[in-house]
Amino acid sequence: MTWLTFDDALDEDSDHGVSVPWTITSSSATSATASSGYLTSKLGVSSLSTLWTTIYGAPVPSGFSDPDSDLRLTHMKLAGSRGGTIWVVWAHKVGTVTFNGTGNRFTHDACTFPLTRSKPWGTRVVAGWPLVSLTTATATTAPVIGSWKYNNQAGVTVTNSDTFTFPNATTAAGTGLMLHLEPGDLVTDITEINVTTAASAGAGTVYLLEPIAQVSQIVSGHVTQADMLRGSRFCPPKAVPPAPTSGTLDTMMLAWIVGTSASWSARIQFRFVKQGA
Amino acid sequence: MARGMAGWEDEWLGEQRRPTNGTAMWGSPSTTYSAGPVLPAVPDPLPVGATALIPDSMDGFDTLSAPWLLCEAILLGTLDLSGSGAFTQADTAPTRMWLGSSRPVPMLLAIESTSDWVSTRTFTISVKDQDGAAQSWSMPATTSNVANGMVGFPHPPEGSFTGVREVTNITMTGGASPSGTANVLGLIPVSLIPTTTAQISTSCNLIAEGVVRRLPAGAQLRLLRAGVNAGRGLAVLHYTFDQAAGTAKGSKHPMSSIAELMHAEAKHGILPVALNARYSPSTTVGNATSGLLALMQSWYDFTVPAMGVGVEGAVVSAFRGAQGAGLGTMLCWRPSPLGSCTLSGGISTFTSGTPMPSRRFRGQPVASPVATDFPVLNVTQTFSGGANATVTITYTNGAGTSGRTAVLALPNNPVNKSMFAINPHLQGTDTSILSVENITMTGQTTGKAEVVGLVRQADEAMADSSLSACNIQVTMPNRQLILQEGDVLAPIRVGTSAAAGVHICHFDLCPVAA
Repeated sequence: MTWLTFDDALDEDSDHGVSVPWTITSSSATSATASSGYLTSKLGVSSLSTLWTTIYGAPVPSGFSDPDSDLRLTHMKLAGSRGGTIWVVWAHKVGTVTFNGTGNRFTHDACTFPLTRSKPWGTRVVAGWPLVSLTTATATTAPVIGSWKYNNQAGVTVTNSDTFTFPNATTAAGTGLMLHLEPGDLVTDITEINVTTAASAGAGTVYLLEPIAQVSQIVSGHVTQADMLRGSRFCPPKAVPPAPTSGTLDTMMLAWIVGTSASWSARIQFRFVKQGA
Repeated sequence: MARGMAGWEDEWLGEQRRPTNGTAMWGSPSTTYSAGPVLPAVPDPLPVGATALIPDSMDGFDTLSAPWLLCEAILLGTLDLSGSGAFTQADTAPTRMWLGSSRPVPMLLAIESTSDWVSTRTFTISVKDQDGAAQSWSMPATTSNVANGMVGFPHPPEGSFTGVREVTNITMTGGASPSGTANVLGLIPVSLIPTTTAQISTSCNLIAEGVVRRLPAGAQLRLLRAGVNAGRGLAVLHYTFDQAAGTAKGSKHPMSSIAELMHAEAKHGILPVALNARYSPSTTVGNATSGLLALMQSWYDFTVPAMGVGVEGAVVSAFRGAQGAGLGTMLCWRPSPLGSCTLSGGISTFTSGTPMPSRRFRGQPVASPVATDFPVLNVTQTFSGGANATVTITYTNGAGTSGRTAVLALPNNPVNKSMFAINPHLQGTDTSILSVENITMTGQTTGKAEVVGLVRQADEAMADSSLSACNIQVTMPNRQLILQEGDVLAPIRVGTSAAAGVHICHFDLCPVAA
């Protein structure tokens, strides 16, 4: 049934609620500079991951992969080792990029974008934030991205030519780099990443980040929580992935940690409830 | 009205990267806002079956410590600053139902640079104010070379109007080979969104915190950032589409639940009010014998407009303000002065005022005299000659006992517009005042002051010193006065006497059904 009251949600919680505990980790990252987009960030991944070659997301049940289910995140609790902001996101893999050569260094995954979500009024294209997460540290020279091409939320292919200079010649693996956008733009797909100054090493995974919920840790070691049911009157976040245009979408529920470069470990507890079960 | 979580909800993402530091549009006391993350407009047309868009909550992060102002922006016109300058009018205030009557929505005037400006300009601005009256004034010259993306709030003369319906013209003078472009905007507030320190973001739960908006098709939203420096911001606005369901019924108890608040909004309409709370010049701080507080009054007090059919009055249903570290804002009902006193040649002359009016509080069946819980001594002419005036106030307390006295020993030569809290100096166990029967002043030779019976409607919690420039959601008082047409609401700044420019505060007036 459609939830009209908090009690409706709580009734379905007792029948269909799912608790998902998660231990996350992240290595220290290289802080951003003005020319690398100001935003210091990195991904938080399962502590069972091998940073940064084999990463795992939140241990959600397999039913979470059904885009047609109405699974809602009603509550989230976090205890972490650092103060900072955490966005729980769907990290949709768009492709990979290397920085040890010039030219277009981006390789798109086989999955076809854009991604879509079904809404009562039709199909809505997923527009998110672009993130390059380094899997191999750079070396020798700070790479420069002279331009990159993406499709924005209006379906227009945009070329951003604001020079993006990595913050350090040895930008650490695990560093999250949010590419420059044209004012007002979001990203639905990426087609090119053109490196104009190469390093001797460096590679990354290119994601389209779609936020699910956000929580902040004010003080290291304290517990913080977000009540997405009572705190968000009509909009407890929907926690299912979107559908690709074709192919199989490689996506994970990850944490995106912004504002701090320090290494991070945290314990998160999620509560999910399926509306209309 | 929205029917629960049936999939009609969605979210918008916004992003903004500001590559270089900007500059305030006008000098000290300065205005320091700039463009924040970009949000899309409400779809036009709305999806089939939807009647409006209801903002539900917002998540935000900024690399700088700066609150955001989420607002609806109406393009009133555009400016070309080159040559002799040109203003091209665009829209006027939208007509919407508020407080029981369909009429233009009063807006906060803003100018947003849309390119890098060269040199300076002096604007003479002509508008129709919230009542439709023609007003015109000249601003000081802008700062030199205002950067793209800056937002300034033109301030009309002190004590004049608080909202605009229309900008009829803007002429400009001055500068050396000036150039640049700008939007002229009318802002209708949704909410200030706190962002705390640079690492820590925040979620602002609009509906759950009593901020109810039904935005129409095509409404343009803006996030304005309190600050001009370089950085990056990310925002997620969660919303739901409203769907037509049943007949709106209004509410006699709009603050008793979110549902009642939404009924009130749907039937009679909430009036959102944004104030450019400008505090200038610096005033005299109270000391141990004169109130123990630093208080300042804004250039602009808000006058409650007329109620429409079926509306008894209005209550303040949400209040937010942006202040610096360790400061706060009290939104107070400000009735006519209880009495005043003039010093001339050392002779003190009392002029009687008006006893505290009667009003009905929400939940009470009839109106009754409202005792002021925050009386202040307001200096209306700078004191001089002699030293350290002693002010003796003879009053009737909140229990109706007359002949009570409060004595304040003022700092020397308090300047015009200084305010001193009287509460710490009331007689015995008194906590409030109903009327003032006499005021005498000795010790100085010239000066004038009045006793004002402020009644707090809402206040902003005092920000911690580490959270500078943050705004805090109000904690509502235990009782709510049902405000009437003509009632004056004054934002009183607490904690400093130093002059300050723009400090946006906004509140909602929610209709109480008759």
